[in-house]
Amino acid sequence: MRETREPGVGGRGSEPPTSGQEPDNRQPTTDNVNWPLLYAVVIGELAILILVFYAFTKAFA
Amino acid sequence: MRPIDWIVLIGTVVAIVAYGVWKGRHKKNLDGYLLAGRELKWPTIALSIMATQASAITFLSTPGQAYADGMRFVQFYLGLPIAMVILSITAVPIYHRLRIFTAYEYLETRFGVGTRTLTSVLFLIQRGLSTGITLYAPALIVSVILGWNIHLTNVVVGLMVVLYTATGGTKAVSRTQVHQLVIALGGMAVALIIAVHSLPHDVTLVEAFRVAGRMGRLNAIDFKFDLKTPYNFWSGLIGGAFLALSYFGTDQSQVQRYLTGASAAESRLGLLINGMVKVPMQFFILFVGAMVFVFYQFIAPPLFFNSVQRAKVATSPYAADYLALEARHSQQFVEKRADVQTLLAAMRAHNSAGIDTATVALRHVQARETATRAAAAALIGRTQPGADNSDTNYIFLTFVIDFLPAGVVGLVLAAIFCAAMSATSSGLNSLASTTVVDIFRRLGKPHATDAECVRLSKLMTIAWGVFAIGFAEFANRLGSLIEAVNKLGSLFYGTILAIFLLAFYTKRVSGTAAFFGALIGEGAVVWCAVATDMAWLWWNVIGCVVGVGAALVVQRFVAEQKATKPLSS
Repeated sequence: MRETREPGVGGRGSEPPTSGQEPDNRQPTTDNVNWPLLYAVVIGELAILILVFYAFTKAFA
Repeated sequence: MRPIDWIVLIGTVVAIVAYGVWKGRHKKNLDGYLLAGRELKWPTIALSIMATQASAITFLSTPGQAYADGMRFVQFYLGLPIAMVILSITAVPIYHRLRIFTAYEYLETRFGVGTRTLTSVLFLIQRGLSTGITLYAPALIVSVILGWNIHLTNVVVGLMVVLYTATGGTKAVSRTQVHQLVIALGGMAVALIIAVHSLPHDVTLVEAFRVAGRMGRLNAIDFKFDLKTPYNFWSGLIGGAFLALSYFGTDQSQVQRYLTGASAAESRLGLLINGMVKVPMQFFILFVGAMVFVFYQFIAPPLFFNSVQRAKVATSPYAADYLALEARHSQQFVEKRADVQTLLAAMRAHNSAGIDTATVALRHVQARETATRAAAAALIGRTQPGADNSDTNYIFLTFVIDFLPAGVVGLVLAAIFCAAMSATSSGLNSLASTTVVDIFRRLGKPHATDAECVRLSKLMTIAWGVFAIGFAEFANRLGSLIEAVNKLGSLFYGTILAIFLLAFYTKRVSGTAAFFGALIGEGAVVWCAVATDMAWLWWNVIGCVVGVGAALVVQRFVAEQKATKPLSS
């Protein structure tokens, strides 16, 4: 990725981490994520939750 | 508190602090100190984002909110997943491309240093005060219920947070937050299980649900549109989305969490996971409160849950009045318990007419009990003008202390303090970043070295910690604390969001127009807060819409100023 640095932005913080900071490489990676699908899943889950909460409200009211 | 509770509480808190100090022990440059070397993966980012938002107030005040007002507060979070998607598409790629330290740095590229400084200062005011409340909330509540010294509690918790936040920086904050959130949610889960198990043996879980529902405590969704109602579907979805956009997209305490991502994809995924988990999590916490409410239909609750205020009114000239209210409340509880038993009997007999009749009777006595509690609160207000006469924040912890077994009380208290420390550490961390990056290095000493900036960041963490502790010492009369924090944020979030939206999406609006648009938007919010009874979630919409609209109008009148091209295009 091209690094864009504009005046007043970012400063001198782009140096590699100093030694002793172990890389956080034990966790899952994000390769090949289908972003549009994931966005749809998030919104779909919200819609389902709203329906479930509404049914919950009505069922016990 | 029994010895085992003290062992669990102290052991957990000390272990977390030690872990934070250990995790952040390595010497760092500014990138390493403020952004954990930009190497974190999405699970850590997601949990860190959730832990930053879920302070002790969430775990103390939210169940009380469900007890007093039902579960409709969950609607407040409905806009959050939408905001997570929008931010993943828009803000995250821009922030990562620029490799910024704070959200406000981006604004300078678009509108100049004035707008960057204005938003930084608005953030410092709002977050500085909020961090004080975050620290104050658990200290206040445990001081009342356990008799601890509030000043000492504030100082001890505050100093512990400062210790690992100042030494370890963002990495220590994010790593500890993962464990803190797990402990906090674990404590709530144990409290829920025990609350359900403490119900009378002949009451099933479904019957408990039906009693809570009949008494208006499972009212999770209300589609009625009303600008004056604080929580309904529309205010939650629209106002909540604006609030979440501003909080997660422009508040450095959150932006800093996902700027630590090893890539834009890691940050995105962290935000999206937050969007998927947050609403069910809040539903769960509110549900704990609803079950505590059901529990108190069978066991007599105190008339007023704040024991310190109870003791004060008992020794005041209003003592006889309060005793009379207590007697009335006891009588109403007996009536209510009988009505609950009648309702349960009708439910078991599948007697629809009997269920309706019992529900009407139950709601009637519930209304009278609510009026009695309101009279007690008013009496306390008269006894001590200026005293906090809301007991919402004390309900859950009173239940924990009075009815949970040894060891579990310590666990729940540890959960509450973990939550307090996690939110406070993010607050201090972001305040230090903004002070150093946007104020000191931008306006004071542009050529400061990394070592100087790291040293100053540590000092600023300590300084803001002292400020938060100091503010916590003087905070009082905040009503429902979770509302207080969000109301305070809503005074500023709409305006800040307006500035960011102008930066992201407009090409022709200049820095001057954005600056004045923001001032006009902020004025509109203050007017709504002071002169109208509009529900506070809508302030976020007003600040944003008026801010953007005013900037577009001002742009037509200000001298032609060449607007720079937006970075998102």
